[in-house]
Amino acid sequence: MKNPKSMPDPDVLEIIKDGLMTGQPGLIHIISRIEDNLQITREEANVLVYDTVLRLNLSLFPPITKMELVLTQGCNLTCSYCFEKDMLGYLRMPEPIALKAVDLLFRYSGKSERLNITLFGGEPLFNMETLKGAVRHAESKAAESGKTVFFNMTSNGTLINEDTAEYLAEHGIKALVSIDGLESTHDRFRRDRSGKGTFEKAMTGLKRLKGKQPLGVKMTVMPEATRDLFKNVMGLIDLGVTHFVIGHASGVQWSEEDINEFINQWSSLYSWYRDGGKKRATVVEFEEGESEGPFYGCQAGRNSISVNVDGGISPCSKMLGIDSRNIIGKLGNTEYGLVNISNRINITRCMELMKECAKKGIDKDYQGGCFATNYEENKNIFSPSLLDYKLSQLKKSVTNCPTCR
Amino acid sequence: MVDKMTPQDMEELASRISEEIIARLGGSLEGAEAGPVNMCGPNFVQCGNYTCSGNFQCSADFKCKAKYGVVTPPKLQSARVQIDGGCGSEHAFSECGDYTCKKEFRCEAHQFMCNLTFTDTPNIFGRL
Repeated sequence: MKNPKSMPDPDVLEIIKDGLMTGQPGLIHIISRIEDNLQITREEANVLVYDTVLRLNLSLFPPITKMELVLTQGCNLTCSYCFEKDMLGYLRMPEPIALKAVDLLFRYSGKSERLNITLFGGEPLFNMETLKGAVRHAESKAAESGKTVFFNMTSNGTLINEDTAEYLAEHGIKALVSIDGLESTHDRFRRDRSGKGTFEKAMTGLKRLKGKQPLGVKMTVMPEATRDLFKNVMGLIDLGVTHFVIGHASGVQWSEEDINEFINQWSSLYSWYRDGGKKRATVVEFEEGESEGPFYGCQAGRNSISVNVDGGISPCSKMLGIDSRNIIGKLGNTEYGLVNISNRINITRCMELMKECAKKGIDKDYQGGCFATNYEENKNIFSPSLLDYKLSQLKKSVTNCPTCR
Repeated sequence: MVDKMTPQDMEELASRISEEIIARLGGSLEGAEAGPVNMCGPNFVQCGNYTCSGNFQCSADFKCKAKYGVVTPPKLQSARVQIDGGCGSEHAFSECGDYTCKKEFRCEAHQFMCNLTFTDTPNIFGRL
């Protein structure tokens, strides 16, 4: 009988290695071979695979410090540009999966001390039970490990009541409410299932956070609404908003005229901001600039992951939204960890993204952009979106031009 | 009767298996297959714009060579500065292995350290 503490036979090691290096590892086969070869139980083989995969990831890649938890695919709105349109249903993440996801974040964070969890959906407040369980578990893991965990939540705001607002404040959960502008803009795109605009409800939810945390909004700018961008930001500031994350809508058509108008508005906004507006509100994009860091590709899959309701792990929620069944660039699951090593290698080192940027002649001033947007435009996460490239260059020209108005 | 594995046994075995797998991957990640600078982790060393896997080290001519014993045939292309170090204007900084040197410093290719330009002070190193 084989000593269970000894190494697996070379052919089994080769099966483990080959299995992990395919895009879709056949874990059941790998586990049953380990079980037979080492004469250990299925449960022990599962732990061994989890621990081995964890060590491989910690050795080969940067630590994971950010995680999005897709707490539910359910949402009460039907926003016209939503990237999760095809995903939305009523599935909710069971609490045990959320707890395993939190455990995974802490183990894959290695020596990193500052971790970030984004509570995401659908509408995350539809799954308060799991949300609270995940927060409680993360707080307890943080206390026992000496790490610090920061919480964010992206919400449509319509379900924020007084109790929720209190709970968010008590646990330091920073809410970012999706509001696209003043009523006429917001209600054009963000409607409930009966077709009614949701501006009033979202603003009511947002105002419940007043005095408890900064009022932050995520503005998505549709091509049809670009000409009102500046006016919308000013209007929301008058209503008490102090924190903005502003992005253009992807997966929709942008004409040259729309792009030019967007950049005009962006330029006006930047001039206002630079000339003192920042005392009234923070625009995250102006604080961070357009730099993507010293590497190709974004943080997705490098030090950030997204966990779906069933425990499937994707590089980011937007990639999940595009195809939550087949998960583009899938990295693994909460049961066994980031087992799709070859996908993580491709995403982290981005050889293909660099080559595609070079092919399009944009490799000197662009680092590949967003995988999900690339996929939306080209059906290939490594083929850069030319719309994103153009907008990023134009935005850079605005923020790098001290004399422009 | 087979002994039940303790959590420590399990951790030790997982560690040995992962090391063995990394060693087996080493061949495929070394040389021409090595990634650009953004492939990082304790088992990789930076070599110009490329990385060498764990069993290799970077040589002065920006090739991966075996750390111990036989030198493997170098397969990497020569390093070329391609990605801005990520801090400030590309004219004010230059990439130097894991580091970015300020403009008054130059990159020592064989050590990837930032040295003062035009002085004889050789030992001002580090992340500057």
